[in-house]
Amino acid sequence: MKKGYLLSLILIIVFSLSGCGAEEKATSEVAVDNIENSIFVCYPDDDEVLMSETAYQLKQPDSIVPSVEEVMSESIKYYDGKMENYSYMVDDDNNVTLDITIEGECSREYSLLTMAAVSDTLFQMDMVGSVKITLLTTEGETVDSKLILRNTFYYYGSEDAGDTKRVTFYKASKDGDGLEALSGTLTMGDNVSMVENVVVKLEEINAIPTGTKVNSISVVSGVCYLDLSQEFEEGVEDTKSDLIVYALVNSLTGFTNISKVLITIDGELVDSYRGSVDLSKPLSFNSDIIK
Amino acid sequence: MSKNKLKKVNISLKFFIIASIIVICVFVVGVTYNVFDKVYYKEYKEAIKADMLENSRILQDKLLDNGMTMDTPTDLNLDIDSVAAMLDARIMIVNEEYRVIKDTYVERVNSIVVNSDVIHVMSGKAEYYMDELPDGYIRYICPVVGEEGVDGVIIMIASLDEAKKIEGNADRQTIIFGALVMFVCAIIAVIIGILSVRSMKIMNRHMEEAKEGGFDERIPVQGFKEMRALTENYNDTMNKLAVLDSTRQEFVSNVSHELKTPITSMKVLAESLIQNEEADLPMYKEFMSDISEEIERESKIISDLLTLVKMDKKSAAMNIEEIDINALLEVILKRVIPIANSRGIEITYESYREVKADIDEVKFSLALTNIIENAVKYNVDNGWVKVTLNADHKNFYIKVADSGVGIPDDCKEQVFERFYRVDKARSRDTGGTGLGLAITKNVILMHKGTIKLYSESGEGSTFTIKIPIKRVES
Repeated sequence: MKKGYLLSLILIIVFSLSGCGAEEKATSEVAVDNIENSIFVCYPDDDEVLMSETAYQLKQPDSIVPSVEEVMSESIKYYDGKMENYSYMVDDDNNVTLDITIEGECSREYSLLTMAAVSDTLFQMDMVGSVKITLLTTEGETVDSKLILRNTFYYYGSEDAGDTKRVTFYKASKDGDGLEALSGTLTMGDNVSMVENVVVKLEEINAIPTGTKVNSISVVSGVCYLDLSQEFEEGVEDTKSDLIVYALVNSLTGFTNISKVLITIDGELVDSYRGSVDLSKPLSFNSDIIK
Repeated sequence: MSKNKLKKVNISLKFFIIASIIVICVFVVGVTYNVFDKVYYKEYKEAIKADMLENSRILQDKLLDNGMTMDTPTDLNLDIDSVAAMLDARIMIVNEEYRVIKDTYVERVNSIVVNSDVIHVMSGKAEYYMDELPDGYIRYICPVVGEEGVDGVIIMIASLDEAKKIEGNADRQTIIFGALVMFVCAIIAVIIGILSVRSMKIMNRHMEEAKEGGFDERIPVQGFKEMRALTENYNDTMNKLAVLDSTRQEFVSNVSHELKTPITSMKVLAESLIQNEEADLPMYKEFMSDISEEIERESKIISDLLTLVKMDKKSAAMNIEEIDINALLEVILKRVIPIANSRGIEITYESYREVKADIDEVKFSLALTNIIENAVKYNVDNGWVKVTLNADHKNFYIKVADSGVGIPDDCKEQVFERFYRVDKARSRDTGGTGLGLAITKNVILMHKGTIKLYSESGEGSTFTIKIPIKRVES
């Protein structure tokens, strides 16, 4: 019996030591409540764009001109007198042209943050198309002027930067004799490229073998060097190998900067993927395989 | 572990040693493994940071040469893409308008960056930023400094995935290495375990042999220091046992001899009466009184022997009371003085203080009587005996000095042995049994005291007795 205790003690020590290296991964999710027809006013601070803590409720949410007026007159309260006045025009396509007069000195950074803040405030209204902002001095001189679209500003490093992008990707059709095009929206991250997101998405929808992971991705001179984990070699059930490979190649060559894709597995060139496709050279978009 | 538990551990020492060594090895390997892991990861990160710094410096120069544009006069796209591929990093170049002019991920080209760190670097509020992002990336933001200040910013985000992957490989290697170390440790543990018990086993085998072979077998002293000490102690114990055994044999032969002597005398006396047909009544009376004397002697020997045997049954039968030692001595002396006076021996008694002590009165008085009687018996006619009583806070001392024949040096040790006599012929005449001093010594030892003998042949002898006043039961 005593020996049994000692052995189990040894085992416990072994297991507890092996567990030491593991780190817990903290996940944080930010829940954003979309309160209908309410606007959070964005305004510039020293080096960032802040957002009001309370929401402003639109009085005439269906009509763009009064809404822009309401939002701008609400916004001006947050500028500590720096925003002297504003004038705007809204065209038939709901594009807003906005002139803002800034009191006193307007640095490059202040101009940037003001444009970001104003456009962000206005873009909370879904009907707004684009915003063209011109910043003026009190003497009427133009400081800066920019046409701003919904994804013009990139809040780098911000948790809810979450800009999305529409992408097209390919997957073997159900009858298995070609590729069919699918379309979806992917979130752009700071540290993970859209290219990698597409590969991850292809794995999720079973267009490429389950468990395939991206070891590394880089794009140089239009060639995407894609290194995958060895799970890629296992193939997808009832799917021809060339359909797996071209699901990847056709999806990735959809990016403007990628014209060819070179696939390696765990850093090794593959002469013959699952006995049929030569992966030793970069592959281009293949339109023949699409149904 | 409590003392009681240590007394009886139900596993073998060998197993205990082996298990302990293995546990220690597992612990040490585990700790080193974790430490190596961390050190490796840290070094890898530092290497990546150094690479980022160096490459960003090269890119800064190229960007300045190119006037912060990507296309003309030199196409920098390839250069930047190569650096990004090499570092497994994303690189974004931001011009002074905060517009992204190059993104190795492409997706953000032409966007306008809003980020406080970028603003700080661009406006000169911060020199650069090098941070570790929580999800395993290193981010480096540095300015492109031209002749007229900051012309733009480079953002580099390098992934530590590669480090983790190599770390994984290193893990596999360390696990194999760890397993190997563990295997070697296990073998070493078993060897140490076997070696450490080997000498014990050898000793045990010798003991088994000694058990069969009587008291003469000795174990050869060898092996570790502790084992040698153990063997020496065992051998010493065996020596003592051997001495004890020979003493016992001698004692038995002495007893038979002593018991036989009076009986032989009686037999001779009785036979001579039977054979002498002319024996008359006075002769019978004379012979019978001799026989009676011999019976008396035999009885005395037997009663002394019984006393000794009783005392050998340890101190269980001690009847301890607080006794006035002065009074006790006076009673004893009163009994002895008439015998002494008949031979003209003068007894003096000197007491320095009142002494009361915890003793067994009967046994202690027997012991003292023996000593004082001996002092008289083995004295010269018209000699003297001096008895002194003294005490300190712990012990009391009785000294019995005489002007007798004394005891030769070579006999001093043996006088306390049973049936030992210094002068065999003489003592039998004086009616001694040879057990007196043996009884005395036993009694004194039972009182946790000591007895010492100072003597020179022909100049008398002195016995000094030391007994604790308070009895402490052990």
